[in-house]
Amino acid sequence: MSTGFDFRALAAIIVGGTSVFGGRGSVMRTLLGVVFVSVLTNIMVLSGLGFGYQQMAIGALIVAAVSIDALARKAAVT
Amino acid sequence: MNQRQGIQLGEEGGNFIRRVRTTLARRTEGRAVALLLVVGIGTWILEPVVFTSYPVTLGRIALIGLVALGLTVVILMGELDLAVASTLAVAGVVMASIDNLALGIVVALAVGLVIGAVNAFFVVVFGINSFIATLGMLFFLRGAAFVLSGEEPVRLTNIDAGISFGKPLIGDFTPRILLFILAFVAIHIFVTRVRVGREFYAVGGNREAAYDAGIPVKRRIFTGFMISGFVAALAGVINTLERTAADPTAGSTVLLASFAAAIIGGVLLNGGRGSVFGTLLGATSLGILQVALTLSGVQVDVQNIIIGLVLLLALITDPTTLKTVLGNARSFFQGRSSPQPGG
Repeated sequence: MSTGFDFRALAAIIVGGTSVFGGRGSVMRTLLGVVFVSVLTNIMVLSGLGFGYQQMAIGALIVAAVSIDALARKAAVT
Repeated sequence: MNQRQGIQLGEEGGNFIRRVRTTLARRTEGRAVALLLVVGIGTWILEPVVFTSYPVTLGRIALIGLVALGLTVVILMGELDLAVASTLAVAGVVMASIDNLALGIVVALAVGLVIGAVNAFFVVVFGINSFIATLGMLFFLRGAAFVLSGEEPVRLTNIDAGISFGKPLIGDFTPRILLFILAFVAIHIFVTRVRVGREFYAVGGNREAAYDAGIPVKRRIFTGFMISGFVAALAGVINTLERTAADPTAGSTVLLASFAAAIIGGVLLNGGRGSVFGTLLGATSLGILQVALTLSGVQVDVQNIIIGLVLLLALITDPTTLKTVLGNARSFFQGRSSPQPGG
C-alpha cells in the first residue's frame, strides 16, 4: 500500500531544492516541493493519466530538478 | 576479523602460514564466507530440502546474483545504480511487445545498454550524484514499463520457446543458471584480468589519482553503467522467457536483495574494494536463506525484515567501518561526560 511514498517524499525534498549533499535547503522549500509534487500528481489523476505516466513524470521531475541545480552550480563556478 | 586487520598488507610472508594470513587480510569476502557457513549449516540441519532440491535453490541464486553482478561493477567505482530493477522490468516488457523472439531479445538488451548510457550521462556530464540520477531513472523506467505494457502483464508471443527455456539443458542446470555462471565468469575475468576492468578499482579507490594517472575516468563510468544496464536487461529477458510473460512490476524485490548480495560479499559502497566472487558468495547465502525461509512457511514481509537485518549486520561488521563504529561509539559515550574540542 505505502510503497512509493518514501520515494515521492524524497522527490518533493529534492524538487524543493534541498541539496542531497547536505548543507543547503530548508523546511519551507520542502513544503513547496510537496505542494508542487502533489498538485502535479493531482493534475495527472484528474486528466486521467495512469499510474505509469505519473511515475514517469516524477522520475523525470527528479532528474530535471537535480540536473538544473547541477548545471546552475557549474555555471556559477566558471 | 580484527586480528586480520593487524597484519600489514604489503608484507611478503616468508613462511606459508603468514602468506595465507596476508592473503586473507587482502580478501574482502570474509563476511560472505562466514554468512554462507552459518546459513548453509543452519539450513542443512533445519531444512535439508533446500539442498536436495538444489535446482530450485540455484534458480533463486541466479535471479538475485545476475543483477548483483552488474551492480558490483558500478559500486566498485563508488557509484550506485538504483535503476537496475526497473531496467529489468522495461527490458522484459519491450521484449514481449515485439513478436519476433530473437529481435525482441536483441532490442531488449540494447534498451539496457541505452539506459546505462543515459544513467552515466547524467552522472558524468551533468555531474549529478548517481544515487539521485538513478533514483529518478528508477521512477521513470518503472512508469515506462507500465505505460508500454498498458498496466498489465504482456504475454510472450512465442510461448514454446519460453517453456523450453525453463527446462534443464545440461544435467540439472536450466539455461538461466548456465547464463548466470557465464556472466559471473565473464565479469570476473573482466574486472581482474582486463586492463579496462582493473581500472574500475582505481576509479573507485581514488578518482583524482586515477585521473592523474591518465585513466579516462568518465569513459570508465560510462562502461560501468552500461554493463550494469546490460546485465539487468539480460535478467529481464531471462525472467520473461521463464514466465512466458512480462510483468511491469517484475523485479521490485530484486533491488534490495541484489544490493544486499553485493554488500555482504564485501564490496565497499565507497568503491575501490570488493570482488565479483564475493558478490557470488553473498548471492548464494541470500538465495539459500530465502529458499529456506520460504520452505519453512515464513512470509515475504518477514523475509524482507530478515534480509534487511543481515544487510545491516554486514554493513556494521565491515572491517574498515567496524573500527570507525567502535571509535564513534566510544567518543559518543565519552563525549557526554567530557565534551571533546571540535567533536
